Amino acid sequence: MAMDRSHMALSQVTPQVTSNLQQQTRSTPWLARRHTPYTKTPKSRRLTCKATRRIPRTARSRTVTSRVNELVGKTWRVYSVSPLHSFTSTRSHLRNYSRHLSAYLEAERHKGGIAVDVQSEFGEKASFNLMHGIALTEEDAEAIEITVRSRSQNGSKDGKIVFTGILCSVEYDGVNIDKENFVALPVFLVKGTAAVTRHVIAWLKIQFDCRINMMRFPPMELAWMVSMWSGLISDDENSDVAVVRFPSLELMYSVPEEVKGLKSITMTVKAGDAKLLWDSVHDQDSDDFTEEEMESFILGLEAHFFAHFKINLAAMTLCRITSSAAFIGAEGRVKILSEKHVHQVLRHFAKLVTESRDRKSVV
Amino acid sequence: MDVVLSLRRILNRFKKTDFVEILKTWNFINIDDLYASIDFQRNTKTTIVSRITEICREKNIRPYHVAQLDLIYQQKNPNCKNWTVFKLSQTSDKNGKQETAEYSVLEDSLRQQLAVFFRHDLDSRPQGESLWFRLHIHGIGVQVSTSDVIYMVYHPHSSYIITSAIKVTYKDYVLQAVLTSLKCTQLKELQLRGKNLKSLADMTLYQQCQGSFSQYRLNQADCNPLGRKKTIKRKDSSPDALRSRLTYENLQDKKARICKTEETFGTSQQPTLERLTFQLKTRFRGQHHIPAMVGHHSPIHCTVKFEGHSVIEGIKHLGTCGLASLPLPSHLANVHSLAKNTISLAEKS
Repeated sequence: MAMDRSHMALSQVTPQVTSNLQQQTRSTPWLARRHTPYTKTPKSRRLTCKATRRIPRTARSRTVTSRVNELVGKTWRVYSVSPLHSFTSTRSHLRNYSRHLSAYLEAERHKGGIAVDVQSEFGEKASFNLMHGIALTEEDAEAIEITVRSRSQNGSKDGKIVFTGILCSVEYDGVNIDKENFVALPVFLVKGTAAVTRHVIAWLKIQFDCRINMMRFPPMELAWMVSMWSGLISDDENSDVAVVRFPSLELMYSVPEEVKGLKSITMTVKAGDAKLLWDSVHDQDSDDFTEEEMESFILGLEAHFFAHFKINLAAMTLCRITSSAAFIGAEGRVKILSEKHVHQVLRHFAKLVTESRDRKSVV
Repeated sequence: MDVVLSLRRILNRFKKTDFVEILKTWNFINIDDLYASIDFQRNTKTTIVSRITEICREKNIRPYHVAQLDLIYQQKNPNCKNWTVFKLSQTSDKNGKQETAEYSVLEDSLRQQLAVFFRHDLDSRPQGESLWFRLHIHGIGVQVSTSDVIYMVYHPHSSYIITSAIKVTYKDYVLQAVLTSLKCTQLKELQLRGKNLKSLADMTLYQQCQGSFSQYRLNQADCNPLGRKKTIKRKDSSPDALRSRLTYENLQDKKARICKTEETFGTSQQPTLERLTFQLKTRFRGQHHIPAMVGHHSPIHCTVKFEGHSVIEGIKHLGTCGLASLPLPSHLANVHSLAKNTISLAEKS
């Protein structure tokens, strides 16, 4: 017997009754949210990747080592990339691209008074390489690593690396892509000096007719990420030793400008307790993490904080999160903490790129 | 250890505009002699510093003078170092035996005690009601590293001493020497750290008169009986008053909040702390949102950190801005009187 909330008098709607109602009434299949097309946060998100192991494409790739662990432990800046036009990943093409990019950087150096890299006097040399182990499914393009090294005085010895960029794709569902002419590598992880980064991105935009934007994570997305990944400590690792090693759940809120003197409030929950909260929120059998679960998780933590300090955390902006998978900052910085979670994190970023693209096409 | 090198290093830290005042306070060189060769307005800082070092070298400067100059610099800029507060206590059978407040006696006894443990240089300089010590421990090698120099601030007759960072290898010995020279039996490190020395000193020495009681300490309670009150009210011609259409809907609410905040925190400036940490070991209180946690009574371990350039001021403003609901809980409202940076909250048994 579904109770229709509108027929109940105001005095009858107590907190216990309300929570019962939420579970019982689904009278309409549509949410009130359908009238707001601008922020379409999804109802639920997948927690794990569909393909858990790398499907080898050719016999040769079985001997190639996976370079996934190079992504771990470094702070990357994340950019979103639209599909690249006429990009081929054969060896000769990659060598061509390296030469073009080096020539472009050289031209930029001679053009203006501002050097591409202040420290290098002899210019830079770029190289494009395939990076194995990141792409998961058959449809994903192989990841490409772009390195820019400053040329040293002794021509044969390589100078130090001033820029590393990794174009990758993990379970990207590029439904509308013309597969013949376009290659989808939606996530670009960048680590390098500001000037070189700017030039490399400008070159990529010109060469492959694509759009590259810095990816920023609004508080809603950070809340999704922290709720989804807090439960990633598996049971066999949940001994006391492992709990000390694994980073705990951390939420950093930045305080608004009008409160003079206080800059940020950080709340850290020990890993074991975070896992306990996550288990009580999440339905164990399902592979999807729903919006209600995310809301209860975050609101539960904020209510725990409020009970102790009477400070409303929801009025502040979430600007950085730490979970067992990664550190994520709102301005687009990410540091993945272990090899196991690389694919999940990158898959999530690819999903975010798809969603933002769909949002733009709707509006 | 090159005396002239360390002198030059210290002189380079000062700002160009402060040189005249500093040299007068230091009193090693006669300032009138300098005016002949240095133009403090026009010359660059490097020129001034090299000229002063030259003159000091001619006058055969000793390490003692360099140490005094260093202390002058630290006293002028006390907020650059990370300070820790220690509490001294005596056992009850030593009652009535106050240690002397004579600075030279204190310095001598401390020097004697430290000589047991290391080769060192100890210098002191008073500032207001406090006595500053500069302890330079002679490490192995010629280089003077900043971690070998320890600054200690002691208010005589109080039971607190504030020190800058002490290397772990030296810590026990230095603290033992301090304990013995001040004739105390116990020394405890308080959980109070910060950069602003004056605030740390205020929080420990005037612990009982912070918050709204600070009005008595700062002499704000009584108005001046001879002061004239302005009886004529001038017309308010500020731009806000002119725009009579703008009103606050919740003016009563705002006034009530400001009133409550002033009752707890007082109207004067709060002591400056850069960081405040709470360790929570309480059971989960968000059961309304996570119903599955209703049965759980085990404590959840949380750490909450407040950071900013003046955290207590920030907490005071949270109430007035509406981000916190008043009245604030006592561990936040009384943070100015707790003299602690790290506070643990556990379940009431």
